[in-house]
Amino acid sequence: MAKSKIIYNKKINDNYFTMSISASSETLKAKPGNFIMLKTNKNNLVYDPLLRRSFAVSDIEEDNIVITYKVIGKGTLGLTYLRENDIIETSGLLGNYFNCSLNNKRIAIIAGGIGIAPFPLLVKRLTKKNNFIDLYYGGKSKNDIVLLDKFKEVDNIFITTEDGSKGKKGLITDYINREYEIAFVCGPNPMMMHSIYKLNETCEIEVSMEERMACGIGLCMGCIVNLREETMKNKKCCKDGPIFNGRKVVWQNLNN
Amino acid sequence: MAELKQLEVCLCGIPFKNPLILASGTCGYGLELRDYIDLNRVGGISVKGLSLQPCKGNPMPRIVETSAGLINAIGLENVGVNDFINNILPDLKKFDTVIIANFWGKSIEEYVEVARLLDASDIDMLEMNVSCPNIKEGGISFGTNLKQLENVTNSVKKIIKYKPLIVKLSPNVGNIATFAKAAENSGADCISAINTILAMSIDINTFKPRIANVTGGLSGPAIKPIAVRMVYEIYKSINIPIIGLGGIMNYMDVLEFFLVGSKVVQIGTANFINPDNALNIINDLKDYLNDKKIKNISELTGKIVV
Repeated sequence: MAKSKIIYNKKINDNYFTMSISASSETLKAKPGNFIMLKTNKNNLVYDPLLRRSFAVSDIEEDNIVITYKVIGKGTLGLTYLRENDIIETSGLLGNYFNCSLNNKRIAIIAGGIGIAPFPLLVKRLTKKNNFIDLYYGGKSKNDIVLLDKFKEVDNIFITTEDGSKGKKGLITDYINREYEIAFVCGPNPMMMHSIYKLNETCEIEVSMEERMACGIGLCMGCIVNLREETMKNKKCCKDGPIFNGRKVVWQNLNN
Repeated sequence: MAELKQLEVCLCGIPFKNPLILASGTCGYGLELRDYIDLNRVGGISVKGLSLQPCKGNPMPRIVETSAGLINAIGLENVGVNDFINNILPDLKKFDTVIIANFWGKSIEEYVEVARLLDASDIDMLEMNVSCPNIKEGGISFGTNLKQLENVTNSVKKIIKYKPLIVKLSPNVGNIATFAKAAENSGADCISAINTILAMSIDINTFKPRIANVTGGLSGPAIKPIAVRMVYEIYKSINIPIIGLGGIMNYMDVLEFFLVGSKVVQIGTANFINPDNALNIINDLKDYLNDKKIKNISELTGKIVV
């Protein structure tokens, strides 16, 4: 547990924000897919919201960690009130991370809405290694398509929105028709599940799961993910994940 | 007898270096916390509720945050008593803290068998969870039926030879004091109260309950005043010691539980927010006792002025 200083907390649009916080040298070793937890109000004695919230490390800028968040409930709403130099409680690095030691690979990055959050850092680690990268990015409407300036170095960007207000109208999974060696997927569970059906069978798939977590360190057993072949043992999203082999996840057992 | 330090307490003949126990279900099997806090500094650890066979628990989603509270329906997921004794307990015993084995069963026979195995193991105390569904008897909880509570407590107490038996009571009853009295009369050495309060939360967009089990148990600061009231009622009706719990977040909450009759306390949901909370509370309690010139925290037990 550490105290961190807010460097900036910028509004991207009505729902999306990007926030930079000071980080220890340990936290700055974040790998793509790692997450941190934040107490989302300034005062630790305030009990509503009660629990910390988990956020993917979105990027690293100098000595600071950047998260990207969408306002969903009281926890994320509380984050929007933070201002430069405010102090908040953080924990992490937490969880495992994406396989980013890849060279000469055909790679798909598939994001749904706020599922874009972990990918700026991943792209930073994958470009300039002769990797070929396609970004698939879908949202409900144009407000759900953010951070595009972080993906200038990918080879292709495919964008869809359900209302057609940006990119093509429809679901992003409808546009996956090329072959890849590895895919990284983060978004709503149905979208991740559908991505797996659309990707070629030889493609490795790493998904970043999000389940409600109370602690982030394996205490509460609230964020269970079931994997095929390991039916007797539940996996903890926080401790064993959040990155899992997408082909092994038992999607039917999750909150869709 | 050597003079006790300020926070040292004795419960059922077991010495505690301080009266703060990490509550069952909020600290895994203890070992999960070893990278985050010095387990030697907590008074005790009550491990995740153990059953005869491993248990996979409930479907997802299992938790939801509500106003100043957390509803959970984990479903008593655990590795089973044998795996715990053989593969976890040896590592846990390396820490200088009191190990409390929380346990449960689907039938009296299962309760008895788990208790027998734990009694013969290296744990320090048993904590019997009587708030789980009694499948064999048709869904009545052992903790909400006086006769059942007496039967299971009597049966378990008969098999235990070495270790003290704590009975952890359900708050989902009309008069918790009568249940505490029944447990005492059936041989319980100690009462822990309260377990979580039956609760619900609904998503107004999907019309669905927010957890798959529909209902769950509410914990956290939202339930503290109820828990304090219940410990107060229990203390007036029994003579065995009480472990107080329910929404403790800071040292002031601990003191409230002492004043209504707790001998020690457990910290639960607060561990999720910050595993350091228990250690911070220990320091704050020392400061309070120094300020008030109180030699030992036990002097506060039951000292409420009504």
